[in-house]
Amino acid sequence: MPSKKQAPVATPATPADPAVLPAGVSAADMHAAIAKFVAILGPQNVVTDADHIAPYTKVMIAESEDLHRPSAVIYAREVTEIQQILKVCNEYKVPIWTISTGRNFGYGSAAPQSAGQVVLDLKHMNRILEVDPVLCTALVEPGVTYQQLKDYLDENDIPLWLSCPAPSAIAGPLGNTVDRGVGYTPYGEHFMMQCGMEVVLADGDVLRTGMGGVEGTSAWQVFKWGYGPYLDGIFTQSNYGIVTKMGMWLMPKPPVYKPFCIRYDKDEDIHDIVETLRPLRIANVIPNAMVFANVMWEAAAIMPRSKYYDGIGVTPDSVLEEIKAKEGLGAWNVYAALYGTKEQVEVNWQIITGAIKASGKGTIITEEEAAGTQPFDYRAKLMRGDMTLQEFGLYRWRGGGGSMWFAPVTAAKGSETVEQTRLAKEILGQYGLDYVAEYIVGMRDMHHVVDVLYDRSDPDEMARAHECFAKLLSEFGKRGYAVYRVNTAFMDQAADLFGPVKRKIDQTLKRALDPNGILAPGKSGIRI
Amino acid sequence: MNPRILPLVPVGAALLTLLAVSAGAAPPPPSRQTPSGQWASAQVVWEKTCARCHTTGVGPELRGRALPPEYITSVVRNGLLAMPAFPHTAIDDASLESVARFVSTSKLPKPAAKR
Repeated sequence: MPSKKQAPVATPATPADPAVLPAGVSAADMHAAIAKFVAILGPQNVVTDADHIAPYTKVMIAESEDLHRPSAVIYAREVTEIQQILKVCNEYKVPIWTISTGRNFGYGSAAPQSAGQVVLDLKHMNRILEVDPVLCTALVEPGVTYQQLKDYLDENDIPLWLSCPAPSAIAGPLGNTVDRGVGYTPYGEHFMMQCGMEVVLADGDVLRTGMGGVEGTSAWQVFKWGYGPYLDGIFTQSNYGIVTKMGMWLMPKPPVYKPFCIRYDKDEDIHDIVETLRPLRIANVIPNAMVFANVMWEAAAIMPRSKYYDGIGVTPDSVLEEIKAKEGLGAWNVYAALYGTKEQVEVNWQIITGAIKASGKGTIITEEEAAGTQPFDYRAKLMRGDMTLQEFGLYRWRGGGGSMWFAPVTAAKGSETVEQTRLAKEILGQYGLDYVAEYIVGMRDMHHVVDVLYDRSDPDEMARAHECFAKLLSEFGKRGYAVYRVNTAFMDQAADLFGPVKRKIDQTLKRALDPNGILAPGKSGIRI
Repeated sequence: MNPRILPLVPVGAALLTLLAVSAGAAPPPPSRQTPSGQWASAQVVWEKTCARCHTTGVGPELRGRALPPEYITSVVRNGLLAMPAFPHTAIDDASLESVARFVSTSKLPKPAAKR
């Protein structure tokens, strides 16, 4: 057979030396490390030019992007490549910040905690390795998105549902879960529904957690604890390893799904909302991670603030009253759902409507009554793990692209929500910022999620937002409240709230597992 | 030690009152790795990502404005205020240029007639 002459393939140029360097790394060492990354991954998978770096610098937090600008971005596809990369990082002490889909909006997005770290983007590792329709489990790689997994289930006619955070269409389950994110279905506490990990450690070892180390096991995705110390937790919100596979449990599609809203008129109703609904949540009558969203969160899903208020500073209460009246929104709006057989749903519906009636407050709105309108429609999507980006409407409320989630943990008691709500509103008001909030209800806790929205194009407002966030952390901390997760600008301050012994243990583990401190230094305030 | 790639063979029909799938059904194959950032068509990118904000009132309407493709690609890569940035691993240059042309030449659909 005559050979055909192949057209020459254009080889990308070797990347230029980075514009910024990691702390403590010389230009010569960085140059050598980049050359070795190229040898491992090929030049097309090692980028240092401004155009390729730019998407990784787009942050919403109230700090200059220069403080979080990566030196380089590298793309890996295989575990063996990651092992080789880590060898180079150890040799030259080059820090590496790993992302899966990089959609941690309001928590730092895809940018590293400090400037100069190399972003290791694992989006190309996007295999859905297994979906077991009988045991209702999945095993995925870091780059798999919720949309990809949803498409896979639909195309293969597998009646399983996902649980997603609000930006479901573009985020992914592995990244969300290892940052201990939450969703809105009965599987909404995502880390609780995680089962088995594969982790590449800083020295190149590959750890399978839980049952994963047992040769020939069929239980990696069904039994979380394995044997001996349970390790999965130390690879969440941490920098002790790079998670390259994750098992998760998926929810069987129920025969009947009944989302509903309960609207409450007054701000102070938050106390009775908690007291009325907590017992139903603990008893699993309401099985999902329901939410209590305030009027501004609701309004933001359907319109910009400017529709009712063109002024500066805090949205006046009189305007909020007008919005409630004209848009048909409550001061607090509960979203919950029932799942199960017709009989199960009917029984639980009677219990819930009875409890609401007995409380003397709250107007129930069914899916039929909402008739496809927002925000009910997107809430119903989220509570069945469907794809939506409607909640990005929060970002147009005031405009300007600034957002930081302030998310203190709350014990599910009415008195505590009253205190936290009052305190958050008071502090935000001191800085001219709105209290845009929801409570996401866990098993006995709630995540009090406040979106600190500000105009990032206004340097003064950005400075105020930064100061406000620091004060929120410190004032809540004085009262025994601390966040479940925080953005890259405030990780040390948040870590301090958990006490010196916790910080010392975090560091002890870091020094043992990553003695050169090459993995995401600064994540959760942890460094060598 | 290789990962257990293939799904388990279904073993029974217990606990399936809430699950419509038959225990005897053939399990689906695991998905193959596809190059991330490559999209089947501009229409798919539009529907699965852009349209979720830009046809729902969350982001500005883009259709029917003859926006220059170069402007669209720049905003996608760099982000703009509330608009997130999309790196090459999320959408490659060819797919981005394709959807930028698609949006640039799109027409604004007529509003549905009121009944």
